Amino acid sequence: MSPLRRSSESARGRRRRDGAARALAAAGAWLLILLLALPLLDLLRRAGVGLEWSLLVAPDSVEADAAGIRGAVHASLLAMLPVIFVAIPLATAVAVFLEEIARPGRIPALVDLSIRHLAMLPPVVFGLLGFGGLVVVMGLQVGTPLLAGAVLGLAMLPRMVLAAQLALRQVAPEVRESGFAMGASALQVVMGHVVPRAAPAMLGSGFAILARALGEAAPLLLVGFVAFAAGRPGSIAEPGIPLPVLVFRWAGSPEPLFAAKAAAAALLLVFGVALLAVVGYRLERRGRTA
Amino acid sequence: MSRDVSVKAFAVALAVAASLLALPCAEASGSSRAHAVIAGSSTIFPFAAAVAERQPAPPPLVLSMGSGAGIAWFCEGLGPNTPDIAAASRRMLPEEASACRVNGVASMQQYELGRDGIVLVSQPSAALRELALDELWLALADRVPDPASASGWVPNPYRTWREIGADLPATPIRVFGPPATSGTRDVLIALGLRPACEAALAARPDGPGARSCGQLRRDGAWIEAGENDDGLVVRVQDHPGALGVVGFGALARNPGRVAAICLDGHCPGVEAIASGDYPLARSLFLYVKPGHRAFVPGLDAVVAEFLSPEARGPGGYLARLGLVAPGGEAPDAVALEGRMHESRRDGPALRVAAGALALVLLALVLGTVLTRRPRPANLALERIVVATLWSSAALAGLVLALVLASMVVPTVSFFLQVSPLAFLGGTHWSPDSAIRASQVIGEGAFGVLPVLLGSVLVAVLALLISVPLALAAALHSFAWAGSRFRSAWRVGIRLAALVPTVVYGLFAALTVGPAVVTAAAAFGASAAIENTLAAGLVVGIMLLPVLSARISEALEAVPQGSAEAAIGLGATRWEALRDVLLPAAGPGIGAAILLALGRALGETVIVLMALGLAASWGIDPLQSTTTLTVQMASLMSGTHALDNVRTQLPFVLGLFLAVLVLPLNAWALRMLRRSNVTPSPLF
Repeated sequence: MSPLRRSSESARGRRRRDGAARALAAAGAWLLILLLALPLLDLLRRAGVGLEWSLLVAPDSVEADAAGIRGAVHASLLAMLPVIFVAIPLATAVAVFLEEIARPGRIPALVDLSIRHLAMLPPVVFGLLGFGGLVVVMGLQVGTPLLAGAVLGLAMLPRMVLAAQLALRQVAPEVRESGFAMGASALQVVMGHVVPRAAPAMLGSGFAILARALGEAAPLLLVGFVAFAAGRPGSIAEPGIPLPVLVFRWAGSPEPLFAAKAAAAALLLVFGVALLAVVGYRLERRGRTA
Repeated sequence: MSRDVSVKAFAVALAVAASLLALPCAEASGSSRAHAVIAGSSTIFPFAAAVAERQPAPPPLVLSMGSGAGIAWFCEGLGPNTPDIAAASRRMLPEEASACRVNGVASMQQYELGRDGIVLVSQPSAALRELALDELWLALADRVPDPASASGWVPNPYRTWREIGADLPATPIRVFGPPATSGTRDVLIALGLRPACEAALAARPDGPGARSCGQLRRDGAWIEAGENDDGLVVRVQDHPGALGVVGFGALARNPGRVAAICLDGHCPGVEAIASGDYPLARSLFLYVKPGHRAFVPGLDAVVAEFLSPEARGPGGYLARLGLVAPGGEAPDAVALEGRMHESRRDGPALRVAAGALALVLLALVLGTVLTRRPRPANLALERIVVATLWSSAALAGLVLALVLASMVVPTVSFFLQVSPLAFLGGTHWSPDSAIRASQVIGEGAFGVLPVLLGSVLVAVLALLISVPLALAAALHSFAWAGSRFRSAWRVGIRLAALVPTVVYGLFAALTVGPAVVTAAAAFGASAAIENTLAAGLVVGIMLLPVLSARISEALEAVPQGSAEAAIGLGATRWEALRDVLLPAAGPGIGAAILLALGRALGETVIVLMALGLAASWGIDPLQSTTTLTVQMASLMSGTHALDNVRTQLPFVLGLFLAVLVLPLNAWALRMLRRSNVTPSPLF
């Protein structure tokens, strides 16, 4: 190789660079996978003692060997109800309105922009809203799944709006045009043609949002959920501490068995979140191909 | 089943279920309750939890917020939005009782639950085992008599215990204790520090005045570590040489993990506390509102369980948890009688909001069902449905307004009391401030810069780790990996982005923090267990899937034609990436990094589990620091009256965080608009 030519200009040098870049990228990818696996492997290692049947069936307790997550699982599931039945439908309606119905103007644009920014706010901020707005002003009871669900629903509402908007935008404009060409009214086009085509993607996003809500602890830490509730909540208005918050509280205990149980409970939480996400993914795939 | 049918069935099912559930939800909307709520002292928390376990459903809720905050909330009035029982590790003060009376809680009962002692604990191997109360005062007081001259008082100059007493070890003074909302802290000051201070004042009357005798030093030797005795024990376990101020129960529950320090020659024990020989012995109290029996049927049973012999008698379950039964015969309830006031009713806000929500949801359901019928267009119906959609958008707008109002109102009120300049420009963060007028704590120092520095430090560390890896991984899956890897990658990375942050928090607190300490020791450096490096590392790991998914999105959004042309002309894949794709994807990648920065700044659970609470004005990643979100979570006291600096502070920090993150997001959105990428809102 002539000393006057840079290696990047010779065929061999170029191939070598390509190979080096490729090797680096592959190394980065595998390192990333390793780093992501580490926390889960660590949980598995720690959970050993805590992963036993009594963990699943017993309610929370001050005694580490008696403590379980049954009440927390109930509370978490109950807290999903407001998200499923209020936040997600409402968000879908907002998205349909913003995308399909509203005439372009200043107010819809403002709402759209605010929702975008709200969706990107850190979830803790919704904890402040939950305390200031829902607990102090509206008088919701602290420590109940209803409040947890309301706070999580508020945090997830803007995200769901964005996700549903994305789904609606993926529907080809021809669908709308052909509907209009057949003489359908705007609402008939939207409800009869656009929304059904966007529904699988909305469903998939809905499940992903639900999975996030299930694992979210940050806003709940601010509205008084670092508390103790014995037994299990019989209804949405009875005390119950959602699972991620319980994991957080147990992890802060000096008793090693509580840390083990926290790790085991966190594993189950990961399992639940992954299950929701996978179900959503499968449903979305099925809806797309059907 | 065709798509249309399945989708229709799903939509209708969802809609019907929504209407069925929304109404009872709105009706039963939690402004009433049947379960007991016990709020207050963290010392009593385990006892109350043990009692709550033995109650029939609905289970009582036990909140650990500190005696001061618990009593403040208790005294906010009658009704379901206030606790039924305040658990206090000190007697209710006259000013608190009068606040109660003003708010209508005139009739309440006081029970002495048992005796307890405030215990100073340290690691069992620590050298410091015995202290005199005046030495403790010299170690913790804000101002002390000038040791260099015979008169005059100076800000506390002592750094190590040896400087206070020649027979004490030369370890630095570091004491973890509860915040100003705590009864433990009130008693520590009243019984432990005030007598020595007053004696010193009698000898040197030119001091700061008896009123400020209870002021604790604010130079970092006294560290507020939250309203949680067990959490304090963990911190003491993590910090060799440090002391923790906890209740006797925490010592009894953690034998072998921490050991007590004997004060004035008396070591804390059941006998010494019951007899009152231990200088920091105190009583624990329960305050009960009899008026709440009307809606909490099990209230009397809860109180009876607390006082039953199976609970606090010899060998009872509370005694095993460290409760010392009161000496002599069991005292009866002391009724603090007064006239019963009209109980406060809930405001109409909840009813209006729930009603509006239910109405909109119902209209949505009806609209969905009706418009999906194959029928000629019905103008009136269409108008109604459009109006419903309008109102749902309006509700969303209302949420936005609510977010703003709930943060702006307390913030404005905060800045009427604290200068915005002192907040934004101050470099001293010591937010400890009084929750009631007579509490002597002194002015808090609200310089937010050290806290901001901690947040930025964690975020920068996280980005340093995650950006190169995520970029490499995204390039690998985009340019070189096979299609099978790529499709598995897409699904896997989206799944990984949903992993709850508590998982990472556990990893950081239990594994990475101690690992960093060991690694630093191997290199001859010393690191704190709650080091910034561990938090930054783990936040970086948490960001990996999000970042690489967003970078992949940005790469895929670039029109592929020019890259294919470059490869067709003989460029290698790396050259096509470097010269064609990466420049075109630049804005998208930049936006991904900005969004990740915003996410790292707002990350709460990981840093809360991995970091400490003391703000430091330094950038050593091996030492501990604190972040905006940690402070927000730990300053949230739980009282409903947002009327003083302490309770307003979390809202101020929240607004500050939002103001910090908003321009980042706005910038990211602008870049994304240019590069025609819509970021996935799912992670």
